Amino acid sequence: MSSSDSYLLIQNLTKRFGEFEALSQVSLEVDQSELICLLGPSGCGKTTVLRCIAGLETPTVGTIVQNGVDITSLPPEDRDFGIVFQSYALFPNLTVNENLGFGLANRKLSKQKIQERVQQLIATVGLEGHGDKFPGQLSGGQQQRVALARALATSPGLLLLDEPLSALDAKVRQRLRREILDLQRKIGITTVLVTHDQEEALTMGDRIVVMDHGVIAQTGTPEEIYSNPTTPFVANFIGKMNFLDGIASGTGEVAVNQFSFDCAQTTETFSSGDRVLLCIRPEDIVIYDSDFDNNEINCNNAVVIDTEFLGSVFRVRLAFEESSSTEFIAELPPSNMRSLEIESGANVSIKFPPERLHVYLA
Amino acid sequence: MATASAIVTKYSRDDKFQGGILVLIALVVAIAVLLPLFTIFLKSVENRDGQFVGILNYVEYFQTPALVASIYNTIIIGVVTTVIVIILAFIYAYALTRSCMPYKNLFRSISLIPLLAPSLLPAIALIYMFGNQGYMKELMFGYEIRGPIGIVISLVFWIFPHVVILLSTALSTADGRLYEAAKVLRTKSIRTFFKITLPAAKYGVMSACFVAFLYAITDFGACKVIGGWFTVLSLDIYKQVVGQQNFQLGSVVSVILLLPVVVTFIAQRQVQRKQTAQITPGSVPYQPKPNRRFDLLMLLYCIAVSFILLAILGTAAFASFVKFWPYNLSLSLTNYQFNLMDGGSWQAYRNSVVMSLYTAFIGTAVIFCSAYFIEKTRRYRGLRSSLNFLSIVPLATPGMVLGLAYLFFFNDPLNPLNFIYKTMIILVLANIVHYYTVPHLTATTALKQLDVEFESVSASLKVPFYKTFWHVTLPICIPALSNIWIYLFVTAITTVSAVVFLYGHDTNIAAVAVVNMDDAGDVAPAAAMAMMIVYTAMGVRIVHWLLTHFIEKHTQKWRQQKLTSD
Repeated sequence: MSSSDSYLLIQNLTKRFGEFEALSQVSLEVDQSELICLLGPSGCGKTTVLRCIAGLETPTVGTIVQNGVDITSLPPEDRDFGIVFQSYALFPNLTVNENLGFGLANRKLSKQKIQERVQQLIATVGLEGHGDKFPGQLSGGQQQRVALARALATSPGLLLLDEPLSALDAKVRQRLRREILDLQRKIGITTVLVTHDQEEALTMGDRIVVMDHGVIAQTGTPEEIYSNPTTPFVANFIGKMNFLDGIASGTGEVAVNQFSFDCAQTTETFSSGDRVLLCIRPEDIVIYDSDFDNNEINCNNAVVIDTEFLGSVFRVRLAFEESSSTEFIAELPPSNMRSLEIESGANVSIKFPPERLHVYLA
Repeated sequence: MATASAIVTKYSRDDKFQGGILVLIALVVAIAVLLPLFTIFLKSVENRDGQFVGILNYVEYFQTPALVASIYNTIIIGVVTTVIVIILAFIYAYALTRSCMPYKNLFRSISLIPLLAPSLLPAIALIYMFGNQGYMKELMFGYEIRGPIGIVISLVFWIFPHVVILLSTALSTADGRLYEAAKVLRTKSIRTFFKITLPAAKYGVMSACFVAFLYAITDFGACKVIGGWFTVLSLDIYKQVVGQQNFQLGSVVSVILLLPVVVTFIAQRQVQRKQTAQITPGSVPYQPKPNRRFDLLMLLYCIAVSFILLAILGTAAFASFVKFWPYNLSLSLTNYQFNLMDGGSWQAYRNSVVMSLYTAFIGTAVIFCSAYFIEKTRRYRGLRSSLNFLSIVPLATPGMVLGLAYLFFFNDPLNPLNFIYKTMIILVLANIVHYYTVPHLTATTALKQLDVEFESVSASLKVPFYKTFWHVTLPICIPALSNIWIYLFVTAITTVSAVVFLYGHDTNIAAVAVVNMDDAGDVAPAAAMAMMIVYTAMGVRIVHWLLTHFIEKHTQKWRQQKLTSD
């Protein structure tokens, strides 16, 4: 059932803590050299998956195969991975060099070989000149790099990253994302990264596994996940999404209030009268002047409730009618705002492009 | 799926090794703690010939009014001592934490001096001060110092530092924001004290009360020296066993003493748990502000208390050098010629030092290692939590009870470990077990502060756990190890209760020698021996302090943070 070239194969992984099911039936394939992101809110089970792969947790049911070997019941000592924890877990009383050499000293390598490898690692993560410092003397970003280098020191086949960047501030995080990615590409090491940060997942992952309450909600490339979320949870968790209550017509249309929206592509599965959620991302809503021809498909009048300036975009809160409780958000660049002269109370025309609409059963 | 049974991770070499060690620890706990304590219960329901007699011994006990009176006496001593020591120590701790008086560190150090002395020492000093030939006996207004008064004063002296430590901690964790709020609302300082200070310190004070009560009802040394006609439970155990060779009644008294101890102990644990839950991460430490009148008042109080503490210690020191109290007050070293005394010898002093060194070194290693295996092993959760629980048991076991339990258990000819009875081995073992709990908690706290993933990282790097232990865990915990070492040394050299049943002819120790010389009427040499204990404890403390500074300077460099920014 699996493609033969997948490096890591997880099947039906289930983990119970007493009555509580932390993971249920999680199946996943990771290809050689792929970077896969486990993404989800806290408590969704993503870290449990990682710890099962590392052997730090024992799954209740399921199998994990790494590089053709069933490792499900192997202790961590007998597995082949390097790991970076959120806390980094650097040995505070050992220098950077000693931290990096810690796993090498046990491999019957000569002192010189160890020394060379440590220097090589230091150069790889760009920490030249810091080798004799203690972790406490380094910045958060530098500590993170030491942890990464230590995990790679023994050249493991699999790299596990557990929220590796969440202890850092925003600027450093962005830079390190790039660095980790470059390093991972260069070495070509298969990597599993756990994060709750959607931006991190979108920018770093070859594929993303979105998890919710111990099950996989969706697996796919960042583009797939973003443009075709298969569940309202994924739609809401990644990016922003407008959720409008509607009724399916059964003929490819969804009625919201008295307005009908054509979304033929995605509503085939719904029968007439089904309560559904009509979803559209804020940046996919098109806004025109109020004198625009409303007869075009999926166009409607709307009124601007208020606007919010966010720097690179304006966020516009809209409603179909003045006192309607059905509100939605659109985002558009400041240049459009100026040309359309959008302001609170203004009447505009909006369009929900049919190919941009997502419909879910409510 | 072929099988529905749960997956079990295979045992790695580390897992097996750690499992073996944990089983070994469990075995030692059984031999050194559980079985001996069980023997005490067994003995209390047996007759002299070892036959089961049910509660007959207890019936005999309760039909002897002289013995039953001790229960009442013990409780009274406990309550009175607790009330007095809590009040005195609370004001002292309040001065140390909530005033701006000068010389706080000096007063803190002085308050800790009684820790370096056996509880025998204040008792001996009090006899010199208020006894028949005491230089202040007029202050007794005809009352006898030998008896409850003497016991209470000795115990207050001896328990004082323990309570000051507990109360200072309780008072220093105050949340400064509450006081600022009270000030903004123009609350009167008396009202602030009763509405903010006391409630915040409530659990700390209650915990200190229980600890003081525990120490007071289980003490043996002070009661032995200055008890006179007055009897308490721990003294009864000694009299029944050593005086009358009535082991059955001795064990009955032990079981009876265990009752209030266990109850108090459980209450103390409950209260302590609540206390730690009170400190929230957002709290701002309270900073006292200068107040001339209040600070002066506190200073005078601390001077007065320090003076009394030093006077008691000084009296013992002075008396030990006096030729023939009170007739010939010229100074000499006559009283230090222990070899000429009945019941004492320099050998006993040397044994004490050797025993305390063994206790400190072996105890530190054993306690830290077992705390490590209990805390940091990945598997065997059930075994580890039971061992963690059992490590608390010694704290609830009075020294006299533990000593008697060891006597029963190890003196039994059928016990293959019988050969350690009356040797240095049993003395060291009894001391380590008796004082196991506090170092265990110190070690556990230190280990809990380490990143929980050190072991996981090591496993991923395929480094055996003992290498991580040796290169990382142990070096980081040097300050905790150092604290454990000195705690064990000082408690071992000052204790008398656990070992009073276990020493042999060649293994007499200083604290027991004090008891025996005092018994024989050689009070001045007893004072001299007690002072030898104080000098030694003090000297070792100072050397330890210097060494600790030296070692930390060379091994804890990594603690100095010098953050570079990103």
